[in-house]
Amino acid sequence: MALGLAKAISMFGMSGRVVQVEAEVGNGLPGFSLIGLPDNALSESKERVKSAVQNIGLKWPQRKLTVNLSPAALKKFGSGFDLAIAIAVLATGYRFRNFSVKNTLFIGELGLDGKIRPIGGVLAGLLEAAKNGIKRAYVPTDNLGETRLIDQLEIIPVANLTDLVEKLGIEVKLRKFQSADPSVETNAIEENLNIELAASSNDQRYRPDFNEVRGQGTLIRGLTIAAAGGHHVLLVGPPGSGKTMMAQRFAGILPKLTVDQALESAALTTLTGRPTLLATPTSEIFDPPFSAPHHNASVSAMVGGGSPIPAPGAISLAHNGVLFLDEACEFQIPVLESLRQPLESGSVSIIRAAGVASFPANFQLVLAANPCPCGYALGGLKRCECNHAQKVRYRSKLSGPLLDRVDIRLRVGAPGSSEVSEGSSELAEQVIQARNRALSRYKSENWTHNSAVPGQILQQRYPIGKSVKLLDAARNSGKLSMRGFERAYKLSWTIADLNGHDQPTLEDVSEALYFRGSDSPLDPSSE
Amino acid sequence: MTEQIWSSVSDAQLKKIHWAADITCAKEHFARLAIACFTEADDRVAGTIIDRLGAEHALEHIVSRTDPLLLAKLSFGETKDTARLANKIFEAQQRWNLRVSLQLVDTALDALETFRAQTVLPSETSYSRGLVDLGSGKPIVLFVMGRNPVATFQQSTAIIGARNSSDYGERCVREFLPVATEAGQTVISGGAVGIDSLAHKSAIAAGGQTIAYLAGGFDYMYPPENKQLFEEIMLTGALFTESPPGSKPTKWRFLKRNRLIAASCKSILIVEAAWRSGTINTAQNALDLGRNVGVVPGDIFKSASHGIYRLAKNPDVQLIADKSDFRALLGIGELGAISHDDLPIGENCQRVLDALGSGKKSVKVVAAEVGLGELEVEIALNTLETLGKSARFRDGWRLSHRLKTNL
Repeated sequence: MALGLAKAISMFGMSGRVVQVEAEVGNGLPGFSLIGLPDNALSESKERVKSAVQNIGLKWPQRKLTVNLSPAALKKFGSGFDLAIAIAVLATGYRFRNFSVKNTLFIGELGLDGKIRPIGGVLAGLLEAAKNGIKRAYVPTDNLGETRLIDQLEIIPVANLTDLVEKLGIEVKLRKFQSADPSVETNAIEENLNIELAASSNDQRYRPDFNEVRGQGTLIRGLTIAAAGGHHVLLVGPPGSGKTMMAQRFAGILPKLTVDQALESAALTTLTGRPTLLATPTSEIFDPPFSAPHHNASVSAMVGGGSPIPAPGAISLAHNGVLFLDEACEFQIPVLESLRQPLESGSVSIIRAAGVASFPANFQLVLAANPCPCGYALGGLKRCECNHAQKVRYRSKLSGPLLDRVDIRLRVGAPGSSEVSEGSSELAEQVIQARNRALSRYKSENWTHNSAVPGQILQQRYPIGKSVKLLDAARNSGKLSMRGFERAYKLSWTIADLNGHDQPTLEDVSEALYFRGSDSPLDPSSE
Repeated sequence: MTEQIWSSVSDAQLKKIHWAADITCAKEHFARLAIACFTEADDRVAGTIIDRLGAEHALEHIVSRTDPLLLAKLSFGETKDTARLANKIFEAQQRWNLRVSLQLVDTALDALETFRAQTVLPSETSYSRGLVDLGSGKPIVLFVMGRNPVATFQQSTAIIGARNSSDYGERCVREFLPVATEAGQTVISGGAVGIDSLAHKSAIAAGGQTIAYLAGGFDYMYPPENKQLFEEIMLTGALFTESPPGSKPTKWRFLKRNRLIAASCKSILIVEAAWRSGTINTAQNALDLGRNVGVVPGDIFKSASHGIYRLAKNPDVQLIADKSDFRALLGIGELGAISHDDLPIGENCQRVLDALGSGKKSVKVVAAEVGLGELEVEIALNTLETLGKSARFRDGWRLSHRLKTNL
């Protein structure tokens, strides 16, 4: 009896489990059985692995071969186990000089010629593996880009199976790897992939900038406040007033991601099977993500879903960044309502027969909406032609509970003047200053911005002084609801942070009251 | 020539005004008391001359019967209106001259001594700030009996109504009045029977301060059956009148007294009023002064409701049907006494408020007038709206109704 072992990782959502691959060559008729609940893609691994091993000139065991994936009761999906299976099988007949089973992980899909192909979710897998004590991982060269972000474990890129077994110190001489595909370079590993990962200031890529916007000072001020305090925003206005343009520029004034946040966001992206984004990581990965699902999106597309392994949805792709819903009233009601729970908890759980997948979804929501189906109920270039029932139906799409969570409601009008706004970089600087003020205020807690602080605690520990009377007045006159009062309270602090005040002044509170807006922002008669 | 009047006033006479801080002050008390004796309430010619020349000089001119043309020039300077003004002064002198006599002042001083009453100058704290809104028609001097309290205009609420009140009206007073006293408001009324008396009594019972404005002098307290009530009011609050001792409570004086109730309070609640009544007259005065006026609805088949409905047709009058309506009228919130006007409004708000008028203006126009950015102006307008000072329309902003009449 000969036994070979190797480790792989099985992912479900963002959580992973290290899988031990055991290969045993025993007596019996020659054959290959793969056990341990593999799915279809994984079952076919048998054929890929056998061809690849033979095509690089190594011997395939000519007796009864059994490969077990342990834990056996865990369902396993996908083609990422190919490498681990190949190594486990080879270990039954060959000796590797530098291979410690315990701490080494193999990820990758094999081609029939021995080429190692990239798979999705490598980054997420490696992050989980590092948590499980893995010290070294062999990954496909084409996945190298995304893995560059990790420093918790040693990453060794491998282009083909020959390359891999040589690195493991196989004690036979191998011929040079020949790809079946002539377009593939045999030695694709570039050693010179050390990319400066810090957000570089000499980044020349085009980003939409607020200095391209004219005469929307109010709106830009509102968005700056939103960025500084992490407040959700609603933009209401007629078609063509620049709502989309503003929202696209919004992500540009948010603070850059920290390394941990960038990793988390990148891992989520890789789980959608879109490794292309990170083929060559640049400072772009520190940009807060901007996710703008179309209004025909389903609930699954929004919160995540799919079978058998749920993939993250638009809200998780917006994690640490901006979720922009253009034409918010055109979304289906269940899709909009599905946002409520993630807005509260900052994560979403997707329940499938195979298990529960949890994805982080801590995003800043930007909603853009027309006030009515034709878009001109609040004025604009044309007269509104909608009847009352149409307007009511349209507005009811944005439910009270959802709107309640939106701190800033802005009405977008035609540009007031031709004044050019401050550039995004200046605004981003103001945002960072404001956030630093908030951070130093909450230094004993772990809140990073004002909107994260529970309302009651904010009012108890961080009173805004005499100016609170203005908010009381607004509440007594019915202009603010109880929740609206709490939100305006938070906004007051954010505006004070932006204006560099140690405590909100009367003017700060006035401004907060203005940007909080009305309780039914789509309804022109509400004011 | 005019100096002679003061040489004929003896130190002994001035000493009778023992509540005055010093001799200069005593002179002003004396002068205003004297002019009050020589003129009838709401004499705007006398009021204007006092405002222009000061009470002491005004007295000199009134006593020495200065030539109307000279007095007009002295008071207003040389203008094209001088002839018209002189004519008015001439007419006024015809009225005054019938009464001018220093003996009258002396009698009044002695009477004040008897009643242990005092005089209050417009510059003093117990003279309500709200009375100043009456302009030249404000009382030349107030006579006070009682504790001579500091009655702040912001913290004053009038509750008035019909003399022949019904059970329903009295129930309304008992329902609403505690709201005002709990919020620390001084309850102002006219000391008449019916609703007025009940307002005073309930305020005293609730431990609050109450003030009555009377029509006649203190030697003619009316109605006589309320003598006991007046004593009680004096223990915690005060009785005020602008009529010197010796003045009978005539119908004319009651009508003039009504303007004092209207002016001295910020909010006024009306419980029961007939179609033609003094209460309606007070309410009209209050509306003209921009006070918050509220009425309690009643039975449409009772005559005591007809005045209420007459008032309720005015868009500036608010219907008060429950305690929270009344709180809103007083400008206090659910949680206690929060008066919006206590809140100092920001500098931007003040500038924007100054630029608003009764006509609608767009944000752009206001911004240009006050020299602020449009965003700052919008923020200020929004805040003013919250405080009930500005009103929003689709095509612009203006002062809210409540303030409009005040300017």
